Amino acid sequence: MSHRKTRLPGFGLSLGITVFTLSLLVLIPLSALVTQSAGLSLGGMWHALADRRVLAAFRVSFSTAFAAAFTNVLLGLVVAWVLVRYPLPFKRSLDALIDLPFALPTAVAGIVLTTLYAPNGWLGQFFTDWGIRIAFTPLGIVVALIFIGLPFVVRTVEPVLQELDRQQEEASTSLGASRWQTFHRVLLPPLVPAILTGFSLAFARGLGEYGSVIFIAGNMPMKSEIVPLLIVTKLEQYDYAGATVIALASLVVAFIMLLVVNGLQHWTRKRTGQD
Amino acid sequence: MSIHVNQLTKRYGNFTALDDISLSIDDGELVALLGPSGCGKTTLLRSIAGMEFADSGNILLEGRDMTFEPIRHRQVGFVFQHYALFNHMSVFENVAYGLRVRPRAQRPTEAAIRQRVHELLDLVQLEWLAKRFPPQLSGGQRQRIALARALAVEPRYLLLDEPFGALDANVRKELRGWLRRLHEELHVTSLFVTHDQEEAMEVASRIVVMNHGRIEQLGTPAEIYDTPRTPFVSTFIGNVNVFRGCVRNGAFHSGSWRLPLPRTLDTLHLAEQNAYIRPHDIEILRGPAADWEVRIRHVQPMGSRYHLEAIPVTDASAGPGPETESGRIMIELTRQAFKTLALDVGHRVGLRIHHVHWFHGATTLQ
Repeated sequence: MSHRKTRLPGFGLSLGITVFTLSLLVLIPLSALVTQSAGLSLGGMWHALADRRVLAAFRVSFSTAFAAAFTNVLLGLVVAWVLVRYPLPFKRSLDALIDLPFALPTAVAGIVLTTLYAPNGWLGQFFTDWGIRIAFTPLGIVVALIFIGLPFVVRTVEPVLQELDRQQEEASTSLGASRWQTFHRVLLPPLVPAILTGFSLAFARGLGEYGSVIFIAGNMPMKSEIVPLLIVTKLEQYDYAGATVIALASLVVAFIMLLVVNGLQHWTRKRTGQD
Repeated sequence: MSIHVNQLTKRYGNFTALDDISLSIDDGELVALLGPSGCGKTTLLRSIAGMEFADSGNILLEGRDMTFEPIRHRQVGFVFQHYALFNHMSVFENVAYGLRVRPRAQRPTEAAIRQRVHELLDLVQLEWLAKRFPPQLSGGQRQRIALARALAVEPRYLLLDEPFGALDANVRKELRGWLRRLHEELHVTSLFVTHDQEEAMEVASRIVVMNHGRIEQLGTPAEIYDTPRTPFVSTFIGNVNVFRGCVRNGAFHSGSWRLPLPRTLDTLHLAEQNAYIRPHDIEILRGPAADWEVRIRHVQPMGSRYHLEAIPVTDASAGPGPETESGRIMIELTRQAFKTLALDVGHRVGLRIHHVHWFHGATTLQ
């Protein structure tokens, strides 16, 4: 292998550390996953995956993670906008509050949300009046994932929003654009890559989230059972091969989806001359 | 498409950005708002554009009171110092923007938009950049695109906020001439903000000199330069020597030096009076018959002109020399005069003063 001399020092060292860390923390565990499941024949794998309960869990996990990530994009955009653009009292405290879901043990979040949104809980009771059940349904999972995923969107969108040239908005209105036109033609396009990043981070986190979800989900097979829980269940039944197959499948699907989002991001950058 | 500003006042907390500004601009004029930073010129421009709203006073565009109309309804084209181009749109789309955001009923057809954009790109001579994105252009190119974008909506007024402020000296010079020619072609009422007096003199048909939120003087470049109304205008536009002194017995005294006063002033007695003398209103003489005597300390060739710095020569018997702000006297000669006089550093020469601006307090004395 040869590489041209660059003016940046430390190429060899930093590359070494990168490869070492990635191997130790990501590649080796992931390949262990593959080798573990290799113990099963293809037919066995198929059998393990085609189970109705497994498929239902996949459907629940992916749909709730997607719905939560999508909601987080909308909410996160508004929150980031307010934090960046308006002079607010206690702005710093408010800003710190955003990161709290990162710091809170997820089980605590799960229990608190469950208590609040249970049919007789503080907030849940109002929804019960409307005939909407949140806790112990997929809707509850979405609520938990929104809570967990919001900081991802806010923190990726915020710096980009801060960098935006406000005179572009003035230029837009001076050219006769309405507020809505200014928003979706001038303001939104530069934010799209950051929004997509925030979306994929929130989505990925939502797929893997365990602690907060299991309390609020109710965990009814076929209805509100998520993939991570199913894996844990399999492990408890000493079905290691089954657990790894599900994990692997979940990983592959997630990887493909993240790849698509990244591709989308690349495409928008290219289309808008940012690359 | 006239602009009338009546008694406009704007405060930010304790700071008065605009202090009772009144101003009239006729249809088709190209006017410069000139002043040091913080003088209120940009606030005035943005108030006329509708990006800021004054505390009191009003703004009439073509006789209609537009003081509280939002910018969208004022039909102004605005050009920003830092271009404010839409970086995620191609140059073509940037220029087309104002046409595309029109309400459906007034929106031109795609073909008409295409034609109009190409006309404008042609006008700013950047047709070949249509497919590029703003970050790929140079500063001068970006500003020309910004101008094309502003012109696309056929504005009745063109407002430019330090349009060349972020550009290199050479590009700036080129664009100035270009802007003036463009204005001759289009005749749209234009107002531009600058802190560069040379730029104002070179481009504008009239100049509004501002300081501390007030208008110091309004006039053609020649009027502003030749007959400044206030000491500020005199020192801000062009170079000037300020001699501190007093007026007694029909003459101006600065240290041991004296200057005869014009006949209209010679009855005055003033304990404190300054004389404002332009460097090129001082003639250098070799030999006697001079008002004052100086020694040349520095010679700076500036191309077609020579800038000299001299210090007063005084005898012990005559008392101290004149009092100037820097202790030195700036003199400007043509290359021709400099060569003829064969001057050099250290030479002792005489000065003759040809013209002086006199101000009493803040106003001019004629």
